[in-house]
Amino acid sequence: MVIEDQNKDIEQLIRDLARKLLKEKEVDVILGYTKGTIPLTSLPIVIDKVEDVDKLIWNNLCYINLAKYLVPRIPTLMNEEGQKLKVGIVSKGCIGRALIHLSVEHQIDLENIKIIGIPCNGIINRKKIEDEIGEREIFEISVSGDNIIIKGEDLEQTLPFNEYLNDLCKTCQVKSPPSIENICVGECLENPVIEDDFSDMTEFDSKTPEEKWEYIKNLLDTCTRCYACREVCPMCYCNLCFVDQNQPVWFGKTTAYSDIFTFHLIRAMHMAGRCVGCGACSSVCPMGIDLNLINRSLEKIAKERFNFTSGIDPEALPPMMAFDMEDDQEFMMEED
Amino acid sequence: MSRIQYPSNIRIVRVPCSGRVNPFFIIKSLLRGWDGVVVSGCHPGDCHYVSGNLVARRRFAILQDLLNLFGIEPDRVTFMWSSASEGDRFANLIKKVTKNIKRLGPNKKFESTW
Repeated sequence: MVIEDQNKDIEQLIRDLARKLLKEKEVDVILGYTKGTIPLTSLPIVIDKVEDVDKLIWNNLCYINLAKYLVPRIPTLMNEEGQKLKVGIVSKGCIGRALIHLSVEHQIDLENIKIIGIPCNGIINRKKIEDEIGEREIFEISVSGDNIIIKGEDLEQTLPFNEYLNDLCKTCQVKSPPSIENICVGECLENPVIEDDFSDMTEFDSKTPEEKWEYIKNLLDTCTRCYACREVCPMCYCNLCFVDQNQPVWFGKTTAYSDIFTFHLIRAMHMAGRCVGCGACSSVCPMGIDLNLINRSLEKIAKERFNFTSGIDPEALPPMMAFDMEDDQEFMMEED
Repeated sequence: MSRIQYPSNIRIVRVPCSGRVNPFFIIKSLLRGWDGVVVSGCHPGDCHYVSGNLVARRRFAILQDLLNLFGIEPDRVTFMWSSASEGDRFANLIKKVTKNIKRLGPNKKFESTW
């Protein structure tokens, strides 16, 4: 099936399920996507009336991870009496993973949530398109058949969909949210099995430390420390983030590479075994930094060291919340 | 112990447990230009705080992997177990660390920000 038809099917699935859930009063509100105000974007929307269901959309620009709107730092969705609302949340695979992982960390209560599972068909990488188009203004973007059509000021271009996908969507194996009994409606994965050989990482891993340093430096050098990646990440819910902490001052607030390095290294450290690979951080980056490499390595570390994939099993403890006497310690120094 | 000698170019920072070692301790030393960092803790199972070193081990495993990812040479940051009664083991490991770091040379990655 071509991408255009898939999108229409998914959109229809979302609207049907949302209408049904609202009518049967199974949920109070639906959290979903709506059309963005400027091209190449989408907006999150909260719907509480059946009439508004047609505002829900699905296209390949719905990059926001909606699980973010349920975590503690964000004001909770409540009714006038101050009771928590039951939320139906439109979930592609990574949103489902984020929800499961957040419930493992006791941050959200899955009882109050209905997961509307959809089979995600990939998210377009805005950076790649902007690189292709250059400075010219884009008025409209649409998917027709298997191609992306871009219309702008004296501009009409057709680009192949597969080449402009996010890199992480190419390696993604959890297109629909993992299924949980009584909570999932729509299309969910029963007992997902992740078989990942991390072949996209081999090239980077074979580099020498010096080459890796140069590569990462080139990648992160433009970072302005705006923290958009933190704000959009569903796993970032600390009351006081380490970058806002000023007692003690662990590292500076400048955009010198040493500070950028520390920010990204510690951010990665905090994400280890927790990152669900939604790619929202790369999508919102105003400087177009693709953090996919770091996020993929986190997934690789968690998989290879601790045989853990975040957000799949609601019972399994994440590696950094547990310890084991038998852990591998080949990196520890031993006497000759 | 037994007047065992070890290289004099290390400085000891005392912490109650290897679980006390925040990754920031290690990164900040590297940022300030220290050539290498060693974290030495009690052997697994010997922890006075029951499981501090087991928690730390997972943290160090991830930190080591991430430092490698960001292009810091693996030998710059070393983790090892040596208990209070293993003076010769400690001396031997410190000798090995010093040799490794001398081979790498000074840490000039963050020189521009000193």
